[in-house]
Amino acid sequence: MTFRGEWRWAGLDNYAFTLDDPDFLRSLWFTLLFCAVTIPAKILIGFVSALALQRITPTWRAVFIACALLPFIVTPVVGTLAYSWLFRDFGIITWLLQEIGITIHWLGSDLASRALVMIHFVWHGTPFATVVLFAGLQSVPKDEIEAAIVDGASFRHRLQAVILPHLRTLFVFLALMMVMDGYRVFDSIYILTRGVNGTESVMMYNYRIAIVENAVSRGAAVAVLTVIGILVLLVPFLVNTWREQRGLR
Amino acid sequence: MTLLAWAFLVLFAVYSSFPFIWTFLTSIKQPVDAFALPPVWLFDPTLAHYAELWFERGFASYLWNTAIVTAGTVVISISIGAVAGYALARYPGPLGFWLLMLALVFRALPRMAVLLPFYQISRALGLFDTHVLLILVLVSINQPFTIWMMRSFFMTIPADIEEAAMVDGCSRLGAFLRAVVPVMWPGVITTSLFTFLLAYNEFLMPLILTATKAQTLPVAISQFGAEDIRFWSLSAAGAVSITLPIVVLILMFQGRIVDGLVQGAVKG
Repeated sequence: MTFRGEWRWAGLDNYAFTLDDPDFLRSLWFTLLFCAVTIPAKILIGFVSALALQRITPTWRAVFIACALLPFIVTPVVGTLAYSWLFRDFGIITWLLQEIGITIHWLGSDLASRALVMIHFVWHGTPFATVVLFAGLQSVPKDEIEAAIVDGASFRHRLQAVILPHLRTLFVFLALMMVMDGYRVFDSIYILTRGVNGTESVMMYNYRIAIVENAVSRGAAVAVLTVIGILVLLVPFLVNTWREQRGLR
Repeated sequence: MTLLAWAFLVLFAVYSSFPFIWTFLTSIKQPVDAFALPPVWLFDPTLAHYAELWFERGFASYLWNTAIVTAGTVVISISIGAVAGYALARYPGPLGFWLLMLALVFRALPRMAVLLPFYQISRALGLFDTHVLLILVLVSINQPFTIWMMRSFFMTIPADIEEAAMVDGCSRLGAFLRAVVPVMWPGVITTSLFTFLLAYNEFLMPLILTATKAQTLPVAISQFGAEDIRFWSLSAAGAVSITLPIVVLILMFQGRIVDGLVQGAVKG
């Protein structure tokens, strides 16, 4: 099949090439590792901070929420740059670590570079988890908590029996959003490491193939493969909305 | 336990805001002080970097590009989103579900999947590196989000309102304009804010779809010589300048943003 003479029918060649490319597999592996490390960390820190916010006075709550939201609302490029300046060879964090006897060149090894981009992603994404889970905590039924306290349940028991089950949907929602965002991570890696030292995510790989190497067809194949991956992750969402829309009748 | 909560929150607040505080300090330091290790806490503040940025580096023209693109995107997105969201919140047929699903699929698309076609089409049509192109592209990318969010808001407005107006003799459109529009402002403001942030902060699209004429702030900032240590203070001044409009906006609408996030979260 020809298409105006310039496009040749390539069948699945572009896909086969991509799936065979060790660079692609490496970037996929790194992206999955990236998600597996950052998502639980974000949700855990977000949950602990939401619980902590519950225990302080409303005025201070507003102050802390404002501080915590900063990484999330500031232009990501700027936030990433601000963060990266701390970690340069003459940056203050690198210097502080050196003062206590740890010398790290963040762009000097795979481990350090990967840690750098992961810490950044956690830093950037935790506020969202904090706000959502804090909002969720407000709607935990008070009588159930009081009943548990009357029954002499410890904090841990209340957590397990009342709070965690109540927040289940929100945890699922957060995980879904974060999987979508983590799977598509691009901006921060582009700025922090340009994808060197084993920090090339799938989107960075896609960018390199399509824009830098100008192999448009292969780039499109990578994009389609990514879409398929994300669609699979969306199934729980579909079910929920189907129910909601049916409820309208 | 309360003490532990405080300790954790203070740590959390420092961890979240320190990079920004540090950037602000860097932007008003003399270059000598900016690189001093151990850091200098007492220094002569200077606004020289801001002056250079605004008057010699053409920061204002990037700001102008960003302003046009953001304003265009917000106005068009919200107009379409309001009408579509209203229809989807009231229409009970199965088509509504499939339209929402379609929107969600487009929301989930990686930027790269739509970027390549946009790039080639814009080259072919001669729209490359123009404001119009960026507005069109950002509207199409953000539309699923605006439709979903507006729909969530309209779902919270009871249908009785329009029905009562229609019983009183209004047409469907009249009922929408007289009964629904007056109560939908909170939803419009919240959705506009998020659309504003999405357009104002977008990086990848303008990075690839502009060259010189229509380049926006995030792209310009990322290329302000951030690599070179001598330009740290200048880049920091750029970072602070681009952040100011957002901070002003957030301070104005702080309560609403949290409400909006919560609503979006709970309703999907």
